[in-house]
Amino acid sequence: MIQMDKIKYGLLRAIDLSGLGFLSPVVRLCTGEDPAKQTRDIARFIFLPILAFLVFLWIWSVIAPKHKTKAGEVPTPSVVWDAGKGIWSFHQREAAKEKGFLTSAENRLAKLQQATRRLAEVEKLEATAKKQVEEVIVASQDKFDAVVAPAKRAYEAKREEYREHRIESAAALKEEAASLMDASPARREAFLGKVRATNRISEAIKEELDQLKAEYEEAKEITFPEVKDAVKAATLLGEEKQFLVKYISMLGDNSREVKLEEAKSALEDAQEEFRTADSGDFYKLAASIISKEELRDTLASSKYAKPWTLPKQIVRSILCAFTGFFIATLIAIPIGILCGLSPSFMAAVTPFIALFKPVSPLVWLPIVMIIVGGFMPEPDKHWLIVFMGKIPFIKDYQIDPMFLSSAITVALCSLWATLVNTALGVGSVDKDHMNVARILRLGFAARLFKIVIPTALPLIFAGLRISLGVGWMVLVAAEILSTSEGIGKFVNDMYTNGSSESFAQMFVVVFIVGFIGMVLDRIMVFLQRLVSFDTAPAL
Amino acid sequence: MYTTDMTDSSPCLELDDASIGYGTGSQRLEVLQNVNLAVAPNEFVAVIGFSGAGKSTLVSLLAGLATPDSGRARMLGEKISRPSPRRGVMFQSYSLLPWLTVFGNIQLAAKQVFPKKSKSEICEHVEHYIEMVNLTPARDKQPHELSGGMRQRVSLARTLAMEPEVLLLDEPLSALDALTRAVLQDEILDIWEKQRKTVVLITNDVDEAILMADRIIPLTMGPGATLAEAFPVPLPRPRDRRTLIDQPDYQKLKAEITSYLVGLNRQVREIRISPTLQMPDVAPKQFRLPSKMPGMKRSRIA
Repeated sequence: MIQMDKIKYGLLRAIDLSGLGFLSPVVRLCTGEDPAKQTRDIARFIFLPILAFLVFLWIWSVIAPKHKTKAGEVPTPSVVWDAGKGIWSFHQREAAKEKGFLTSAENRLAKLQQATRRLAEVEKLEATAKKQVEEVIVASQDKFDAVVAPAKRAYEAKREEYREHRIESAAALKEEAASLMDASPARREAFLGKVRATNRISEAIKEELDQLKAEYEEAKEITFPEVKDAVKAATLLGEEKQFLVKYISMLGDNSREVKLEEAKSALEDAQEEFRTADSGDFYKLAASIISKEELRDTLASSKYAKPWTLPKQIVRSILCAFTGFFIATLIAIPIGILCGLSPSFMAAVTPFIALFKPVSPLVWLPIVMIIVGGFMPEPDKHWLIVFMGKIPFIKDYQIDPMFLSSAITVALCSLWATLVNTALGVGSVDKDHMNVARILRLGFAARLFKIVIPTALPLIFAGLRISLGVGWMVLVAAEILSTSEGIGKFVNDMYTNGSSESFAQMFVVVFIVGFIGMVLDRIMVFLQRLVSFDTAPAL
Repeated sequence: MYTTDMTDSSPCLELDDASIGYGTGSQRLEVLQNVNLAVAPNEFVAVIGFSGAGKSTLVSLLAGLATPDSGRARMLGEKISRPSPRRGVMFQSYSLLPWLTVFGNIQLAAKQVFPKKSKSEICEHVEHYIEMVNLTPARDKQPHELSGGMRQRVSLARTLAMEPEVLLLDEPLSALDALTRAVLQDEILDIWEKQRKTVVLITNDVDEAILMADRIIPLTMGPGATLAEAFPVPLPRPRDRRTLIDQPDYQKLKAEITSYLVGLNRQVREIRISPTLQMPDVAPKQFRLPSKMPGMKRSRIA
């Protein structure tokens, strides 16, 4: 029983620390503590939010299709879900291609066989799917006609009416015009009025005609759900087929192993020729051997030219945000401590805080890019880029001046919260604690590390939490502007692309960015609670 | 006099015509003026006064946390120029570091005062003082997990662990409830009986002062407070709170001190009585309502 309690309170403490308070009624209910209250709490803190989210999804799916844009309809939740799946399968397929390019020997052949078999299957399936699409379209032809035909009829009738009206009125007016030769000015004036009136009528008819035409065009656009589904199934299969073709080529003729073999045998041939030839241009032969040797070496270390997929871009964005956050922390905490310790320093720094804090990242970024560019006229040779290119894991994420500029912009925008909070925390050291320190005759360093910083730590972490949140928001904007690989670049590409699919993918990004921001925030809350010595809950 | 050595030896703690105030110009406030105090070695002196009289300022002067504007503060004949672990202070607010455990708080002080001791010696030293204040079971708890009385015990142990020559107790018990206070009074007295030290206790509780001190010195009301004539406490030690109340000496002393303090309070109130303010004689010129008053028109129509 005591063991049970220990586990229970351990769990509750962990839940409290991690800020996942909504789980605690579940734990309490499992241990049978006041079931009525726990059920109420579960209903309130778990089911109600889920319900609210479902309501949100429902409202979204109802409203979204009603708005037409250049990039098609605003995507509904299910379309966004499919777009998310599409992003993920693209990532997995690229990873598979890369792996295929690098595998060797029997493994490669086995995979090649497998892929070829799958391709045959998919081709068959795709053919069926395409046939299905045609069938569905034929089957829904009547339905289509039922919708489109009335609109078409109305439009054509109106068009006829318009034509007739124009011809008839023109004939009538011409006839009357002929009789105007010796008519009085009053009659001529009346005729002018008649022409004007006729024109007005034909304009009105034209307007109606345009309206009907638009309706007809719109009716033609209609796609029935069954057609949509059939097309989607065929498209998915088509995409898989395309992937398999590429994949097979990566496993087969285009794989590193095969290419390397080819290069090696070509080199051997050339060497053989060089050694055995009786006559000819030996210089040319030697040069060809050298160039073939070079080709072999390049191939041996060659990599699959993998495009940036969203998951990789996300990792790079997180890396960039943390680099910026790290720079901000390195600057903000020491300056904040100085501000808290010395009112004079605080007074000197306050105008800078007030002046630079409201500056938008969109202003900082171009400035930072130019300055960083000034430091690195040849980025590939700069020691920092070279150094970062050697760090494992980080080297895969293309550390370039753009990355550094984005990170510095993040730092410039996010350091203020930490700075101000650190100054506040250091400034709020208890006078009695300082008196104790004076009586004990603690030195400056001991006072700083044993009294001042521990006192300020909860507030410092509160500041860091705000900074990380700001940094994450700023980062996406900075990446859009700097077209540095990352989530921002993805959004920018999708925006420029402008298809309805890329429109849905932007919605996916909204949820991903939000989710990562939430996780980062929770991590900071957890750290903040770990260093908080009082029991006051951090929100 | 009650103790003989008091007059013989030179005083341990001394305030010599000391004055101190805060602020400048019109904001200037004289807190203590011409304070004279001599505390003999191993004497237990209680300074009693109303809140706001400047009791904590007096402790600051003795501890060296503040220096007098005029006059002198001395310990064993030497000028007190800055705080020192030789004069341990126990604050009313405990002033424990909330992120350290009981052990950590005391260890911080012990390490600083005895830098030459080895790690195990320090540990032993700290544990000895934790034991002295009966906190061994709470050794690894943090202050927020302890009751007020326990926190003040930690503060006491920390002060004692510095092995000071003088103990300055700045209203250490006034934030505690009556029962806890009584227990702690007995504990402090018990420790003091075992290893005598010079003690200055600041308090606002007459019973506490009589129970614990050799001499009780009232502090007059501020601003410009000063120490009044001392009341010696001629009660034999060790004192027992249960039998003390029945002694005629105790009751007489309590009555004397209380009436002295009440008298102080009355005096001050008489000084502070404010004169009646003459109000200006103002009457409205006319009693008609302003014409643009909302609702006026309607009432006229009606």
